[in-house]
Amino acid sequence: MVNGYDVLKEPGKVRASIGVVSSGERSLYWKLTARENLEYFARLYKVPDQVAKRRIRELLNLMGLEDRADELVEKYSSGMRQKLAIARAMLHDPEVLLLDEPTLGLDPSFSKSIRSFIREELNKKQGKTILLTTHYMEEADKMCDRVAFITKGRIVAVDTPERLKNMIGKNEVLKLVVEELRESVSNVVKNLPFLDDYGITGMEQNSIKTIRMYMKNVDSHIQEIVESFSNAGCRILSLSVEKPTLEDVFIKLTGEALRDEY
Amino acid sequence: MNIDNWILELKASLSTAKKEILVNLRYPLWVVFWAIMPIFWLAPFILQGRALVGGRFSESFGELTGTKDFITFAIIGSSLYAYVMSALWGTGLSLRREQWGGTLEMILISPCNKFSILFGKALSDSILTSFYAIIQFALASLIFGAMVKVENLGFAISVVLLMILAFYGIGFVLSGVILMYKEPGALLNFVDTLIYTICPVNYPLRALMLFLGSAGYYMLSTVLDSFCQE
Repeated sequence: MVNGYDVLKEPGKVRASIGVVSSGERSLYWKLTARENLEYFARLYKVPDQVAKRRIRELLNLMGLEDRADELVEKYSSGMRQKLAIARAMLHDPEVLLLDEPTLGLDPSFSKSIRSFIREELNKKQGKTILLTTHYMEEADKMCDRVAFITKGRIVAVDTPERLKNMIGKNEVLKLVVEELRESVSNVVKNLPFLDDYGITGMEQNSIKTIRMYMKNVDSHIQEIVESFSNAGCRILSLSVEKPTLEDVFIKLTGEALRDEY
Repeated sequence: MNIDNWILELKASLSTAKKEILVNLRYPLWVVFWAIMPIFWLAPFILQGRALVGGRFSESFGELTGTKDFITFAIIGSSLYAYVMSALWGTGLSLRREQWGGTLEMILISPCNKFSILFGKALSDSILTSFYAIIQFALASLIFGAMVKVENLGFAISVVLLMILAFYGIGFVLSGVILMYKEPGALLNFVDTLIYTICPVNYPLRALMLFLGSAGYYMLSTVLDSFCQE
């Protein structure tokens, strides 16, 4: 069921209830203007002409695109196209929004404004139900009430970000960035008996690795950890103690690091 | 479906047609290409025929077709064949372009009926093809000279519309197959070449060998071509 409609019996009503942002800028017609794109999709979503006119004006205004509404989309920046894709998804004022990687490829400041818009305007103010997919753990942590981890096509955990992070327990996280010169870092961490768990990220061909180690009482083990890595010929580039993040939960659940770390 | 919904579906079709035409016209070099290039594809038939016959009229051609003027025959045939090509290729390739461009998902997840989208695409194809066919006919007539006597224009248009509808039926089926197998080239080329062979537009039907000549009689475009030639 979506928005009270059966997906098998009432697919038309289900589709009318959903707004989708997928493939971002590629999901628009680059040889049409922003206004023409919105007018076309308003017709496909059966929005009455008068309502469409008003919605298009409001959405262009909301996205800050009104001044360039009659320019071809091919002349837009990636950020503007992403804004337009979001405006298109909201044209018919759907109850449910499916946002597939809404900040993918955007610069940090614009990503921040998009996140804030989704959270504050769409979710909190307009009360939309939002299903968002992302591989940015920080984004999921800040924006979502509930997070589901999917790996190899299966949901491995669903809960609030706080509860998920509690899965790490009372542990602290020691993040170490090292240059692997002689011995493999995995051999070093395997020989640290006080670790509850660990995760290593970094490409195979790259000698620089990031290790996240989970343990209690980090302070009492730092000296031993530094010595172990130094003795194994690893050069320590940075060391920090952090609170557990959703990425740590993901590593704990799946045993693998996020692919796009580097 | 109530009347209001029919109107909304019709508007979706018209918007799809408008969008397709706008996008097409915003590639000006392709507009020039499609207006002019078919003349170059037609030229070899006319030039070769002229060289063989030694002019524009042929007695033996007249015996086979009812008209001795093979140049006008070829010009009318190729202009009409533009519709066949458009019906077969247009909708399927347009959907494939949407798929490549990343917009197909967006139009398919809309609540609008899929047939409305296909109909809009077919409508825009027909309008653009008419636009190109008129230019081609005018240019070919200017360059090679077509001697046309217009009679029963209304009836001719009705037959053209009937042919377009029939071929769009085949085009829609092919569109579905293209979306399923994601490879338009081989299938469309095969169907296109088959129709082009058994529904001759640049040579008389009776010139076809074996059973192909008989098969050609059953092609709607052959009937239409014969009608327009007369």
